[in-house]
Amino acid sequence: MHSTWSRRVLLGGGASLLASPAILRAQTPEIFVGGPASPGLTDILFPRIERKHGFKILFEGTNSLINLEKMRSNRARPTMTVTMMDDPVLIIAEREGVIAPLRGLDIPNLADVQPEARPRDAMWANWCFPAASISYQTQNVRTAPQSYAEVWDRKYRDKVILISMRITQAVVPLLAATTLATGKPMAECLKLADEGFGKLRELRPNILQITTNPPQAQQLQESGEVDLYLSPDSRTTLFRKSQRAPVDLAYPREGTVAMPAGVAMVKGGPNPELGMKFINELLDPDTQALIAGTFFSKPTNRKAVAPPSLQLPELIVLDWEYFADNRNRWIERFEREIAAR
Amino acid sequence: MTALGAPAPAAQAGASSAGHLVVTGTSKRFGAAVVLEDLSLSVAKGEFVSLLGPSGCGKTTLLRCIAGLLRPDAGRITVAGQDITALPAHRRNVGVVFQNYALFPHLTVAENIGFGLRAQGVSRAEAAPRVAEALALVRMGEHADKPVTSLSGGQQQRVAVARALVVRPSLLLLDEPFSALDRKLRETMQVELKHLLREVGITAIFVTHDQEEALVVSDRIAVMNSGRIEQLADPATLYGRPVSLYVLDFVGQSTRLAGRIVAVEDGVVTVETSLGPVRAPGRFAPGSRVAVAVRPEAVTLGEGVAGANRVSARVSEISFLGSRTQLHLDLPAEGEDRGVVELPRLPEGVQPGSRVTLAFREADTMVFPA
Amino acid sequence: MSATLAAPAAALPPLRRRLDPMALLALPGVAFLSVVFLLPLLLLLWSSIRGEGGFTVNGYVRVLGDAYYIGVIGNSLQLGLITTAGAFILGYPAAFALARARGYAQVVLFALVFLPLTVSIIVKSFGWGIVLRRDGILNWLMLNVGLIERPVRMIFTEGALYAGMINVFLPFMVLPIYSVVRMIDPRYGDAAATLGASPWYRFTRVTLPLTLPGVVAGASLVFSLAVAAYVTPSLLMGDRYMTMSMVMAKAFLNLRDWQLGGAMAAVLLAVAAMVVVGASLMQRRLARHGGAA
Repeated sequence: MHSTWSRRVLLGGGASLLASPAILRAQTPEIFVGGPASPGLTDILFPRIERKHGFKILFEGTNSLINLEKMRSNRARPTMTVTMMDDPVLIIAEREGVIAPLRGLDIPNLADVQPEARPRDAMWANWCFPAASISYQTQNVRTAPQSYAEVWDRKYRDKVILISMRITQAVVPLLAATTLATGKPMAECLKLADEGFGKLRELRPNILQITTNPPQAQQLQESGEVDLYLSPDSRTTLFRKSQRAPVDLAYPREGTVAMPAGVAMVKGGPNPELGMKFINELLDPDTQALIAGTFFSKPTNRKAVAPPSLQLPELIVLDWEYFADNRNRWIERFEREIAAR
Repeated sequence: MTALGAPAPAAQAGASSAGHLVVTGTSKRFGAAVVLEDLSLSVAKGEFVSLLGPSGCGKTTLLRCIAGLLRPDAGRITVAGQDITALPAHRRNVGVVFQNYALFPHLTVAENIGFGLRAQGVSRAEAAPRVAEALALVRMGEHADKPVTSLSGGQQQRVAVARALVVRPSLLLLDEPFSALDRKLRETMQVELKHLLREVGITAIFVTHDQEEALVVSDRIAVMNSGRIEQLADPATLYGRPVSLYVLDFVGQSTRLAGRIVAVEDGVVTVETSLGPVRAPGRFAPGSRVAVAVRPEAVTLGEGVAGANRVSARVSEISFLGSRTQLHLDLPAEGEDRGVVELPRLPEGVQPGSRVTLAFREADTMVFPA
Repeated sequence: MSATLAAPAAALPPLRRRLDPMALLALPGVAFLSVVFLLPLLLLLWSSIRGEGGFTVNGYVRVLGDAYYIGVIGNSLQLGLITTAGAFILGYPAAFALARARGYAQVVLFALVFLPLTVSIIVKSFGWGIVLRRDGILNWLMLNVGLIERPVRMIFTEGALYAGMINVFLPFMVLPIYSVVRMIDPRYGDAAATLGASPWYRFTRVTLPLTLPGVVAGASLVFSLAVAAYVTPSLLMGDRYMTMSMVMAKAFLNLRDWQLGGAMAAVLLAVAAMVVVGASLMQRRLARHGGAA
């Protein structure tokens, strides 16, 4: 992980260097945006916004927690205007008082965004919903799993990889176990999740590994070493599928979960009017269609039309505040009851 | 002394009249280089033999072959009649005193000496008195518990000798045992060690490049040249009757003149040299190119005895050596000829540049093919 | 240091003698380490004893009073010991080969020891995946040789973890031993042989004692690196084999629980310090006996 850290430090240093020169700022208006280092943002999405609105976007791609740490230490004189991060981290940001609500700002497209994508009374907005369920290896698993119960089938002994509870997507197998254990609909299962651990424990013979290194797990699945992987989201699985990798996303009858992808205004950030333009553009129906195709995710603006190639089912949107409040406990339980030998 | 002096049982078993150590037709090559060439050597029980020669002559290789640290390509080595050619070093019972001694730096003096006994399975209790005896033999008793790294060179040598002797080897090999000592100490130790080994009654082989050392410690000396033994003889024979120019030059000094045989009669040849005719006992065809030589102390100044060889030469340098004085001669054919004369006393009037007449007996004059 | 200062003045040598100018050479290193190592370390230890109402040992109670974390500490120690033992068994003969090799052979052996250090652990972990997986090279080989009838699972097993750890840390065992072996006169072995010592006796009574300083240095280096390992176990085993460092990473990055992370860091530091201090005491004892001269 050291190499990752140093890369982040470099990126961070580079970004703050880019952000500071006053000369540049005087010529073209610009804003500083923090967000995940995922492909598609700086090469496809941002150039389109820059062309359309005539300002420059300085982007720092980093992990949500590091991003939050930066906002916290720059609280007195924020340099960042907009932050893109996962909802569980945005909840901490809200509590820390480093983001400002979107409600009441000049963001017309916000009205068309589905209510579940405007959490906490539009404190922030979800600019898309990546989908997460079961990623399966299409050469080894000929028909897509119809139910999460199939993951427990002994024919998948040593053929399943789970994501570590430290990574948000791990909520999917936990919810699946809970719905199988309680019989309650998956959408109601987050608050019952502690009842799912017993069922998840029964999955242990099938678990080859619990990964903190998703690229390694992805490679193992594509090579056929594992059949099922719970759960990278559609941004990875469907993107790899489009690149002809032998993986696909199953849509089990219990449901498919929406992963959080939020965008918020930094409290007291410079050039707020550009920030509003930026967020409004992210939520624009045409941009949303582009986002859906680029990030293999469900658009959140009800007027947006996803490309015909992307047919995602209705997604279950979770209460990420509840998740954020219970995650540490679940990490501990997960490690002791599921991961430990 | 008895514990150390008693020969090992193996040594008694097959003792043969041929010799205690017999090396037969031994060859060794490293890649293209022939280091030992069909070499044979026989050493009697209790005898001290030196392997003498310049570096690269094969003397250390021969020692390592006898010790079992090298395997010869051909030939046979026996000790007390037992063929040890194929035995590994630790099964040969051949002791070695290494150059620089190779004392184990992590052990004390007593532990170093006891090492071989313990390695051969002698119990601690049985080993202790033998170690003490060996320590006493080399007068190192008071240093028993010191680390060997704190000892002087001479003390280290004594420990190395005691370490090798305490296991009662059937043969002791010593590789340049005095080279690490300064000159004064070396001379003392040579005599001391010879005396000690004689007392123990062991058969010993010294490897050395120092002719004086070889003359002091050995009963016989094997002068080695390019992997062969050029001459094996007692010191007096080696000095007085060297078989070749190589041996002549390696052991002692001499006056030597190149020349050609001009007359042959009754086993006496006359050689025409740059200083005139010289007569010597020998059998050569007339016209052969030869070198005549005479040892420094066989030469007198003046007319000498009747019938002696006489030549005249100029003195170039005079060296006073205490008990004797050395004259270096200025010879016409420098390089090929050389002149060294030793006198008990320098006659009056002789100084560098003086012309002197040298006389030496025909019988003391040697002739070698050039 | 404080002991020196507290000693009676009369017992001290003259002041000029005490201030060895060579000691000044250590200053840049000491200053550098104070800033990049000592300061963060003190902050870390401070965070481990800071609670809601001031000083607390709660962090240590949580670590040392919890069977799960005791198990994690056990995992780390086990990993450290097995890695050290494996690296010794493979590295000791390798160090000899390296020290005794000449010419091209030595260059090749050096490359074999050093080049793995230049390959990132991330890259290595992908490589191991290719070797160890069900249709990987190792299974293919064993199937074709007839050792096994169907592919066996090797990936994400403890065996694979130990193999990977030994691979990563082997150079740190080989180099210190190599540097000691290089200094040993080969005639010590010859001398022992001519005294009647069998090869095994020579090894245990001469070679091993003389190389022990290198072994102690290599083993303490490998053990303290392996016991603190984070990247290799997390790549080769993931959450199923938690080590102390993985708990620390989790505590600081995910749980934002500085008390837990700080306390675990202090335990790890104590373990490593015991090893380093123990090793240097052993070194000094060996040095008094003469060591490798």
